[in-house]
Amino acid sequence: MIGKGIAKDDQAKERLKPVTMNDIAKRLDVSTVTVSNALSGRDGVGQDMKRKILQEARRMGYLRSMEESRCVTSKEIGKNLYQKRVAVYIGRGKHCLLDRESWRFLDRQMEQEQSIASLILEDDTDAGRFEGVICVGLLPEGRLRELPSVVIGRGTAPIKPGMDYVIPGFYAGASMLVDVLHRQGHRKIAFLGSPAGRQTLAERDEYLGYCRGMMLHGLPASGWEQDVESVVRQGATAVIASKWKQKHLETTGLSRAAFANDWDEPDCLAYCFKWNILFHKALQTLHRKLEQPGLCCGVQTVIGEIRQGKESAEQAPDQAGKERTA
Amino acid sequence: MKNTKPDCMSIGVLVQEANTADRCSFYGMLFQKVVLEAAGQECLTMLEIVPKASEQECVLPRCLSNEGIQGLLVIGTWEQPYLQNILQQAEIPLVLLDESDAFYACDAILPENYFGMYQATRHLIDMGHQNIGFVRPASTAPCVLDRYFGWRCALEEAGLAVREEWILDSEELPAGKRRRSFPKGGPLPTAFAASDRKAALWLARILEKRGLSIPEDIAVVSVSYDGNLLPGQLASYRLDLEAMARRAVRVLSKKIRFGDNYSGIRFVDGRLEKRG
Repeated sequence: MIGKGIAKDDQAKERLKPVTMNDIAKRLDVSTVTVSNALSGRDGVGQDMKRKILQEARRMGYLRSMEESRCVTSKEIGKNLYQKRVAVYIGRGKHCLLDRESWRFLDRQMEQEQSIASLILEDDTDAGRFEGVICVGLLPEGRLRELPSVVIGRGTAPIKPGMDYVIPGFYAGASMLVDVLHRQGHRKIAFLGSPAGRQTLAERDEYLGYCRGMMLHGLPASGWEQDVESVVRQGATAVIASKWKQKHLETTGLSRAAFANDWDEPDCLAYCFKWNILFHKALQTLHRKLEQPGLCCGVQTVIGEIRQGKESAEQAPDQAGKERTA
Repeated sequence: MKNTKPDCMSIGVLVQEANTADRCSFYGMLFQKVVLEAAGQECLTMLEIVPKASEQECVLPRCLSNEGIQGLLVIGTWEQPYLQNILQQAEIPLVLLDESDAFYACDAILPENYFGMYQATRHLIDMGHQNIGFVRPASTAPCVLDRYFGWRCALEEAGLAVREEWILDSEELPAGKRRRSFPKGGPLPTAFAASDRKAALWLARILEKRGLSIPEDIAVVSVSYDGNLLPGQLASYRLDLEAMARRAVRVLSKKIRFGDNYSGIRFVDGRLEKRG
């Protein structure tokens, strides 16, 4: 009896032991690295294998335990306080969108906003467990559409009436970058965006903001350049790039300005998106929507900040007074 | 312990002479809202009207040397050298209203002109219009540019053509620039987005002269600050002047009370008001 009891206890312990990536890897006869890559949405794992791994992880309770561990942490923080369960939806295979730093932001924000759960959703499977959803860079899909939602960013479709958006000021940011470059003495400023087929709505805002900045200073705006060579060919002295890590740009000798996240450390003049304020605004809006069903706040723009990278600071002329520094 | 912080604050309000003529203009109404809001927050306001000549000659406003003034609210779009001079010289907290400066760490409150016009134009697109023109005033002020680019963004995003001949000037342009008036021949757009109410009124008069009616022949949307729709106008994106004034006074009083910290540029969104 005793022996059986011990055996039972061992089985129970075994069941209670948290599932690890190693367990999933052993079950599917693949490496732990493959499992890790598949679960974090990184490249290098075939679609079929990724699906198998996700299915197995869900079946073995690995994904659930990941989710629960996050919920428990947040639950402890928000105990007896604001009992709203809010999810963050980023879409399938896009974990890279929210890296460790942004998770830190998010957790801190959730703590400040006293929300009970912070969870990344890749699809609508767990939609029923939540009261509201913050969608990062895309619109809610499937059953998530039934939940009150706020979209951070421009999404992949035109702005829909009746939906709430919190948008990093791509348009205003580009205009601000032109303004700063103009004061540094640049007159020939080009815009470098993504090649055709990979252009995003946010980039369009950035390009129009660049045109606005140029027009305000009475300067001709260039077209939407798609490669570094054409920027150099047109004799520009400075370039605004839609991405901070635009390839080969640093070797051109041009003054660079770009868009970056606020945890990046760009080496050039940059307009940095303030993710903590974006999430704060999104959570605030979502809470208002949960309290007043049917409320629509529309489009809210959050302005980031201009930072002078090392390269930019070296090139900027001396300015006495209260100019903004990095 | 004696409270050294004053209960009632005095703030200076700087406006351009040209913007004081019409009480019902955007700036006239914005100023009134600021005074009301300041009174509600126990702030005394002292108005200083800046003549055009002083602005062009970069003469510093008197309120900057008045020791009784604890903060300054600068309303409107100014000549850049004048504004930069103020930003460099001011030793009291300062907030810009409907103006911003990326280079100086100055708090600014701005209306949402870009996404406002974007939403108004999207409303036309959602109603099935594919040929949409734009009417603008002669000014190249930032707000006019923002609305123009908002219109352009909505069209480009929907894959619709931005046709130069459908961008009309509602006012005479400075000498040397050719005014683009209503097209005499060729296809007409089915709808127009007007930069402001004045431009929409000009369009309505022109259309009436040509025997075209709103909205049967041509639909019209605009951005406005009073929310009044023209007869037949489909929608208007209404800028929220009250919220702008409230936010500006709050930011300034916070800076006066708790130290001159930079809190950034903020956009105040309005509301798309549709007919019926």
